[in-house]
Amino acid sequence: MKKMNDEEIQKWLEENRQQNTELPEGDAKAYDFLFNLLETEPDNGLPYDFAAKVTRKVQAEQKRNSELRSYLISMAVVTVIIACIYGLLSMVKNQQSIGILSVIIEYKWALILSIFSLLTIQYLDTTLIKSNIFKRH
Amino acid sequence: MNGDMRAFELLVKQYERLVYFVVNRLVREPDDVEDICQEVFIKVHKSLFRFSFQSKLSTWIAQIAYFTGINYIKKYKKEILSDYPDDIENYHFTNDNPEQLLTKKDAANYVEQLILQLPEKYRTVITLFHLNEFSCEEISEITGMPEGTIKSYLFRARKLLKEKIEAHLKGELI
Repeated sequence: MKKMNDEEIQKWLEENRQQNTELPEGDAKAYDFLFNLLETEPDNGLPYDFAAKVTRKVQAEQKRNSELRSYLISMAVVTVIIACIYGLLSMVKNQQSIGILSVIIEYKWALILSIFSLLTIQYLDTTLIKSNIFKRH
Repeated sequence: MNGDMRAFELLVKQYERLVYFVVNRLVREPDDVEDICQEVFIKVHKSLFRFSFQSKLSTWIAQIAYFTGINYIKKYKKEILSDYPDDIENYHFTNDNPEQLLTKKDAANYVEQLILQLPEKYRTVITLFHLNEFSCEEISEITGMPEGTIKSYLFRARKLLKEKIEAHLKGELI
């Protein structure tokens, strides 16, 4: 077989390696050996339970997202209900509704702080605690 | 697939080796490899509804693995890409001691160490072609590199590695 250059040998091996044909002259033996080594899989790999771990992580994330969604929906529903009750109250007993509004305005910072604290606790619980449960396990 | 976690677990089992090969060759920190592989499959799960079967699923997953690995390298600056010479033929490996290679396994480990010292594009191309058995066309789809560039990287990397193991072969390895 005629002597080939590096490029020709590489191309030849890509096309003919599996067919057990005689190697061309030149550096073909070295390249053939190299191709064998390049196809050797590394000794290390992912742990045997890798797929189960990933699945658990995805499930945990899905659960977190659905919990967050349900919290937001609940908050929206509660807000709408309160608004409706207040609207009805203002139609039936206007004086009392003004009184309630003035109490809300007076304690607005306490109310805002309570809502903000509740949301912060919920957020920290979701991001810092639940998201780390499956990390590296 | 949406909601069917058993099907997803089977998908992970089927492609975890593919993802591991790509990430392991890109990311040099063994401790981070598993985390990045997990991130790849979480991305796969989130984007599976966007997969349009225009390419093979393996190509699509390899693409996600490749870009996740590259982003990790860039984000944590684990590798300074400019450290590599433009002319790869003049590249000098730090681990250059093939005399102690007694078996094919030793030689495989030696070549593995040499590959890990190559620039990331060469490592990726060599891995995708030889370990994952993708064609140059598929590698182009995965990495976004032109096919000609891939062929050139493959040729130069193999030539460089061949020169390194050649001296060793002359010492009559099995």
